[in-house]
Amino acid sequence: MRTLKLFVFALALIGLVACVAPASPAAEKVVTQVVPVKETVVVAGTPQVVEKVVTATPKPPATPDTQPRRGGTLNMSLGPDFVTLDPYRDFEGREFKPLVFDSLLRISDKGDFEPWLAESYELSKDGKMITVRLRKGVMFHTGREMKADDVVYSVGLARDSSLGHDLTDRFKTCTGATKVDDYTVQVNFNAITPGAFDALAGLYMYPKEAADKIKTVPVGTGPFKFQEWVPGDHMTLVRFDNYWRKGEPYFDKVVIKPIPDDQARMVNLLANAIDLLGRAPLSSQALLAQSPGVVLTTQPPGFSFDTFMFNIAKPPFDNVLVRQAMNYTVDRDKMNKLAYYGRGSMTLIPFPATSWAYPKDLEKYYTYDLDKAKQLLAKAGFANGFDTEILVRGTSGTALDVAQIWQQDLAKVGVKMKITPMESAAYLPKLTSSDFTIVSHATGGSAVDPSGLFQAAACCRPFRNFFQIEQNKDWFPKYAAAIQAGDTAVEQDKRKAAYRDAITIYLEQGWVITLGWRQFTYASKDFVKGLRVDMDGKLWLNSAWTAKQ
Amino acid sequence: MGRYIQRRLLQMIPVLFIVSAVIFLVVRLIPGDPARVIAGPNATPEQIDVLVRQFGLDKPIWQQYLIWLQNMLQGNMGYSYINDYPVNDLILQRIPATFELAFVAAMIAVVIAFPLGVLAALRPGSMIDLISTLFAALSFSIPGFWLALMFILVFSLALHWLPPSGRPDLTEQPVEHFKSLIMPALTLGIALAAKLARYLRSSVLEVLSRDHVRTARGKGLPERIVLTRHVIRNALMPVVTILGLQTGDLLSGSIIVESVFAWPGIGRLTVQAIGWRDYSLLQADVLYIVLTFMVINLVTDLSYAAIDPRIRFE
Repeated sequence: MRTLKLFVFALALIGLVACVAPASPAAEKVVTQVVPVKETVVVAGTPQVVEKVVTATPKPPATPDTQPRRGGTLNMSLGPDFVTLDPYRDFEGREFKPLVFDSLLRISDKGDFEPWLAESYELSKDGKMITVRLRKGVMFHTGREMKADDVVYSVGLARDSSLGHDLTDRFKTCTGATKVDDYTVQVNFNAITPGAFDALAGLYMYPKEAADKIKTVPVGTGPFKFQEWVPGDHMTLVRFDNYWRKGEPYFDKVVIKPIPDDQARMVNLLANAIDLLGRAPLSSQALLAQSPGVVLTTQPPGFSFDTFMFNIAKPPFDNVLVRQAMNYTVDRDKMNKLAYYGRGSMTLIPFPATSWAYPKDLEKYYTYDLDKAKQLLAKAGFANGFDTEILVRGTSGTALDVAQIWQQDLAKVGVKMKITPMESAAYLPKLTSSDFTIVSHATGGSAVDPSGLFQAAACCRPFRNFFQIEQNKDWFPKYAAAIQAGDTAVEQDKRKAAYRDAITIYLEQGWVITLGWRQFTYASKDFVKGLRVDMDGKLWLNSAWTAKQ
Repeated sequence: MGRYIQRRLLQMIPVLFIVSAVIFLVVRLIPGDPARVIAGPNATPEQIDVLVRQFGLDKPIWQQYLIWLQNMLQGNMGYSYINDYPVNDLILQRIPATFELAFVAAMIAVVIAFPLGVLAALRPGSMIDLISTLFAALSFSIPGFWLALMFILVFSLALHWLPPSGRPDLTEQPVEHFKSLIMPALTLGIALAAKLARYLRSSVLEVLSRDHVRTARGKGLPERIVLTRHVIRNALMPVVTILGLQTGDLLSGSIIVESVFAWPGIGRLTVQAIGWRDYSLLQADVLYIVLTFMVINLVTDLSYAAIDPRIRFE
């Protein structure tokens, strides 16, 4: 009898598992709330803007049903524990930055820039100086007002390459900032810098006196004030009463718990232990979307994408015909279904379709065509294929999934590809020293202005490129020149044409196969209102509130 | 006994020195270094050099070791390369959670394993033996992460009895604290119980067939006395060894259980340190683990004397 009871209990458990197993995307109920970006207008990100851009204090977004109300605690998990709380570094949990910090400008929902701590900003006629007028009464969490000196200090930090942080490249052409008065600053550049607004949008302000402990005690001007961080356990932020946006934020407290396991994070949301989770894995999004009372919010495409990239100094990928053949073996539809669980935004072009620089006529440059691939391989002298190896960053996830799908298609044209997943710490030295043949790697410009792609993305920048493209004396100079022309031209049409030339070389030479956009997805309980996820995937809670009684 | 403990403790010192040197070297043999990991793929060589100098990795390795050793002898394990947090604090924060989980899991294991193992040995082929075998087979074959998720599904999601993750403060929320401990401790305890029960069963069976047990029974001693004085006591020796080793494992942290239940233990800290090549943290972590095993081994050795009066430590 006891054995029978055990058996029944085991059956019940199996049934329960079956109930919570991810459903097929086709069966999914559409409750996904995607932050809409209908168009990317990057007027403010180009050097030709000379008019003053002024906005009043932005109003909190209107809520769909009732008015925002103050109070409550938001329990959330962004995944693994924070590595550092330094806003100038991009590690796990970087999505938290807008909770504590603010920057002078921010990326708007329309995909351009809006003044944030700046009341207004203007670009000089020669495109080499931005004058920023600061809002008055913006307080740091320490109780001191943020003034021009703080901007000068922050720009100095950003420029200081000896600090080894992530902002230096963006401020490469910046020669410093000058205080005009307490509320006016001029940020100077030694060349036209189309990515200057992106740079300022990533420049989070913190007071000089907090610099020593910024990695563990973040102090900014953001809506929430740091209370404590117990590594491995939680970080607590409390409402900042002197926040410059009057009335905001609404939550009294935000508690961020590290729950590294994807499934456990999901179960915690479903069991009401947390109200919001970040980095919802693609494999679980269908299940989350089906769960009652759960809303998904996804980062718009445009900042980061998955790729396969070839080291063009290593045979057989030193042959352009082989690289082109590889491009024809990629079945993006299949990858979308199997690796992105039908939720991918697949792309061949490394610009989002909403960007003014998007070359629509090139979007079908390569299609999935195995016959064409075989012809090109035969022409290159590899009619019987060859053996190769791909390094994958990480031991699971999309980078590995797409490699496995591609491996099957490559086998159809005679190419046997060995997949070698590696943990990040072992992978990065291989990548940066070009010690690989192919990598499955996510990269991106992380910028609104298209110049960001050629400035920051490993795939596309014409310097410190790991794929040995700088060694090519034939087409690389043309590629670099096209980028230079796009970066320094003033008229948008000319910039677009120059970037199109660069993308044409990028596709023709085929050292990168762009696959699909990487997008952070947040899942939250439906009583959490007013969430905002920007193009960079960062979470904004200044206007978030709870409708739970 | 006192002199034996003294001697063992003194023996630990050279061992720790040797181990510290080995750890220091091995940690640096792992591919990848903290400067490259922290700088990321977009860093310039100059940025990487800055970090290398900042971490003192540009110095000869023997010099790095001596600096680390000197600091360690002064009780300073250094700072995390990633976030500048004192390594001492990072480890000390995790130890209470790790010890608590290990202790409760070991208790659960003992409470389950002892009756199951002994009864199964006393009645081989019976229903209890069948259940014991089935329990062991299931526990060995069910992965810990799956069992952990099943517990969460049943007790958190379906029944809402227990919190799915976290470790609320004991002083502020004592009830919630103990509730949060149940599922992780059960997950670890069940796996350990299966091992102990199997060892105990075979050990008891082996002792039952010995001459002294037959003699004891022949003398007419009650079965209860035979069991407690002559069988179980003798059967405990190998089980205590296993329990000691397993407790050492538990005290080193359980990465999977800590990850699933978001339990702030030492296991996750170690994995994080490996992932980020946070040498200072990793060295201290491994040293803590080595020290834990040495202490557990000493305790295990001492417990032999308590179990078997023939063993004397002079």
